[in-house]
Amino acid sequence: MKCRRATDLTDRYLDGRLESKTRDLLKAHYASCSRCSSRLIADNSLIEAFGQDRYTSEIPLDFTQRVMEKVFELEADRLKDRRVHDLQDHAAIFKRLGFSMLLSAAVMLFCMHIPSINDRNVSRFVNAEAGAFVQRTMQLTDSIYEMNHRIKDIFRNFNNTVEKFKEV
Amino acid sequence: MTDEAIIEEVRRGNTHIFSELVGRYKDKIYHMAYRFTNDPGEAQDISQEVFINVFRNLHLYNGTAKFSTWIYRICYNCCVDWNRKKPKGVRTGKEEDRAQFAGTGGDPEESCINRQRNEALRKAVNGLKEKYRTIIILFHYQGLSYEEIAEIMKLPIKTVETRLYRGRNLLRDCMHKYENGGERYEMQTSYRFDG
Repeated sequence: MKCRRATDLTDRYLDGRLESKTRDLLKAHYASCSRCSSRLIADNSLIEAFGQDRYTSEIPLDFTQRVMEKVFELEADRLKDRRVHDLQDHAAIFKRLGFSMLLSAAVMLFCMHIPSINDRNVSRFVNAEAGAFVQRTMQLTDSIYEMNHRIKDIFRNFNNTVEKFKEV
Repeated sequence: MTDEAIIEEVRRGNTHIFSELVGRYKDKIYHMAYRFTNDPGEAQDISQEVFINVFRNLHLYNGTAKFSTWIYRICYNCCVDWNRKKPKGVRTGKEEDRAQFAGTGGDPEESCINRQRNEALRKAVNGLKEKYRTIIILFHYQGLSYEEIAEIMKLPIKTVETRLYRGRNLLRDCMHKYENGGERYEMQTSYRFDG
């Protein structure tokens, strides 16, 4: 293995991500190459430095309590929203139900009264026409009667005229 | 009780048991947020926001990924949002809140050297571009695997590898300069080290 390849593989080696065969080859190279083995030690010192960097900033003791207070608040809001939503749902259902019932009642009433409505309409229609017919007939009768009187008058006048002619 | 079992119980209405989940993950989430913000107050706010978002969106968790991956993803998103909203400026944290190295040995001089070194490392990490910094934090400070990081950040594993190695190389350069007494490496957001 060449040094360049060994350098490329160093990080993977330090993280334990090499296959056993490659790891063995790399180990053999480190054993024989002082430059690469020194670089390995230097590279590893950074990894060790991370491990040594322990902070002392600690999370507050009441952290869990504070989180749970907010969680319970959230849950209470969620329950309230759900109740409002449920009420709105129920109101919508009742509205629909009420409308359906009204519509059904209207349809039922309509169906129940269809025959009587039809008869009345027909009789109204018939009555109206009959009335008109009678009126027209009466008017005609009057006209004929009047004509009859006139004809009688005309004949009477003719007869009178003939009698007078005879006297002359 | 597994995380999934707790989630199932919470979905059934047993909200109290959610505190169990908070207890399990609060430290990891807080430390991740702290690494991003370097401010305990901001880290607390982000951590709270993470758990509230988890509770709000529990119905969306379908169990295809581990719960830890899912909560880390929520935390990552919150940190990215925080980073976008925060005013631009030096991101080194407040002087009085800066984390102190907990000395491992009894030698005060060694502790002091280690503390300074850690501070230099932290500054160097803070100075990285977000795409490298996030992966460095998730891998080295949170101990997540490549696969978990890929799932959290929605990246191919190869990209995670590349960015991690690139970030490390940049950090090595910084630490090399620091250790060899080169110019003091003062990280400021205006001087984003990208290499």
